[in-house]
Parts: sequence; structure tokens; C-alpha cells
Amino acid sequence: MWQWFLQLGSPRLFYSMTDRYLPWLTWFTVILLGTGLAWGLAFTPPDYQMGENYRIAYIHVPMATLAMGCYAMMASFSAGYLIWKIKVADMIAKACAPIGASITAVALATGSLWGIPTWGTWWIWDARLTSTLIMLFLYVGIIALRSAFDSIDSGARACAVLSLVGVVNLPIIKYSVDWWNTLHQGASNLSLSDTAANPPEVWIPAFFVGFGILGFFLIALILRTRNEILIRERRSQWVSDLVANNMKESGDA
Amino acid sequence: MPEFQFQSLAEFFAMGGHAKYVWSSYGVFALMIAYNLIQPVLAKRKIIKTQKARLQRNSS
Repeated sequence: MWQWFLQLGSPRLFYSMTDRYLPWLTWFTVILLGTGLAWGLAFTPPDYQMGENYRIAYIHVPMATLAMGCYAMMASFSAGYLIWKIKVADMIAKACAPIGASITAVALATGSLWGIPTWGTWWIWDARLTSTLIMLFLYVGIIALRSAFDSIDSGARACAVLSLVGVVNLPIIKYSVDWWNTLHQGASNLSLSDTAANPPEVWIPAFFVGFGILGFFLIALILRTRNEILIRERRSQWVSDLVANNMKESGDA
Repeated sequence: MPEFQFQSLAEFFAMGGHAKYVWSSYGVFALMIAYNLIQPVLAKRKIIKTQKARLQRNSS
């Protein structure tokens, strides 16, 4: 296990290993996401208060959770880069930012779309919404900060520090609904009982969607990290060989 | 076994009057997925192209 983990720290081994995992991950994602979305959209009973509108929750909840998970992941890899100088850790952290930003944007957008008929407003400066908006700004700020540096190493260090500072926002988002009296509802309890507000027939498809989205996130993250590896390792022999092979395949060598 | 919850496909698309909100949410979500998968594929193509040009320059 440790050996496997260390291998992922080498850009070249990360590239060849993900080559092997990507097809499996793709199948896993397509099946889970396809099943979960169809189930949630058409095969779960409507909510007794929100009617069919609650089906938005099947994407809003996993998007909001993943937006925070992605941030935690970016901060962890940033710490890994600062402490052990693992270059791949920085490349993964860099890949997290644009994906996290787009996921946070979708979490906010789907929340607004759900809010128009339910709350009667698309936006309110409530603690949950505001702290999530701050997370979006953090993601965008980290992307901008990196592009402001010419040196890869200085940019990586600055972004790692900003990512770590932004971690204080995560517990604020998570507990905002408990600490303040927010319009945003608190976390729902999962119950095995059929008479609960969220019976299994409602939350089981949500798990399919959730893991499907996690699969998609890993695919997007791996694809971006691999591109970053190709760019940073462009002068190495193995990348030249890979490009040469690609030339042979496309027949213009 | 879960059952189809709508009387007809038309009712499914109408989403009980919430079609606007439900379908735009799923639309935004689909766009986000598409962007995050297509962007890196195009970027990789560009990287390979640039490197190919560099290799050819060096070998000639």
C-alpha cells in the first residue's frame, strides 16, 4: 500500500498508473451516475411539501459536499507539497482549483434555482450561502494567484499557503446552519424507517449520484494532473517517447 | 422495485410545474461535467501538438 502510494508521487509512474485506472473509473462513473440520476429524477416519490422541485437536491447536495471535499483535498495536497516538496502534490492541488470552482458555482446555481419557488428568492445573505460564496472566491483567487507568478515554485508555494489559510472557511460552511439561524435548512437525517422524512427510497439513489459524481471528480482531476505532468516533464525522455509514439499512431511521423 | 412516478412522459418533462428550475439545474450540472471533461482532452491535444513540433525541429 505504502509502495503504491509512493509510486503515485513520481510523475512518470502517476501517468502510467492512471492510464490503467481511467477505463475502470469511467465505467464505474457512467453506471453509478446514470442509474442514480434516472432513479432520482423519475423513480422516487415527490416530496409532500416541495413536490417535484426537490429533485434538484439530488445534484445540489453532492455538488455542495464535493465543493468542500475538493477544497479539503486541495489544502491537503498543498500541505504535502509544502512539507515534503512532492511535485505531483502541487500538480494535483493546481488541478483541484478550477474543478472546485466550477463545482461550487453549480452548487450555488442549483441552490438558487431551488430557492426561487421554495424560498421565494434566489439569493439571501445567509451564513451558509455567504460562506459558500467565499469558498468560490477562494478558488478563483487561488487560480488567479498562480497565474500571477512566472516561477512555478513561487506560485506553488503562494497558492499552497492561501489554500491552507482558506481551510478556516470549511468548518464555517459546515456548521453555519447550526451556529446561526439560517434560512438554509440543516443537514437531513438518514433513517432506515419508511415513515421518516427521508426514507431509504429517497436517499439510496442519492448515494448512487454521490459516488458517481466522486468518480467524475477523480477522472477530471486525473486528466488535468496528467496534462500538468506532460507540460512540466516535457524535456524528459519518457514524454518525448510518448509524443513520438503518438506521432506514429496518427501516421504523420 | 422503484416505480416510474409520472403518468406520462409529458408529465415527467413538466415536473409538476417546476420544469424550469429542475431542468435548468440538471442542465447547468451537465454543462459543468462536459466542460471538465472536454477541456483537459483539448488541452492534451494542444500539448502533444506543441511537443511534436519541438521534436521535429530538434531532429531536423
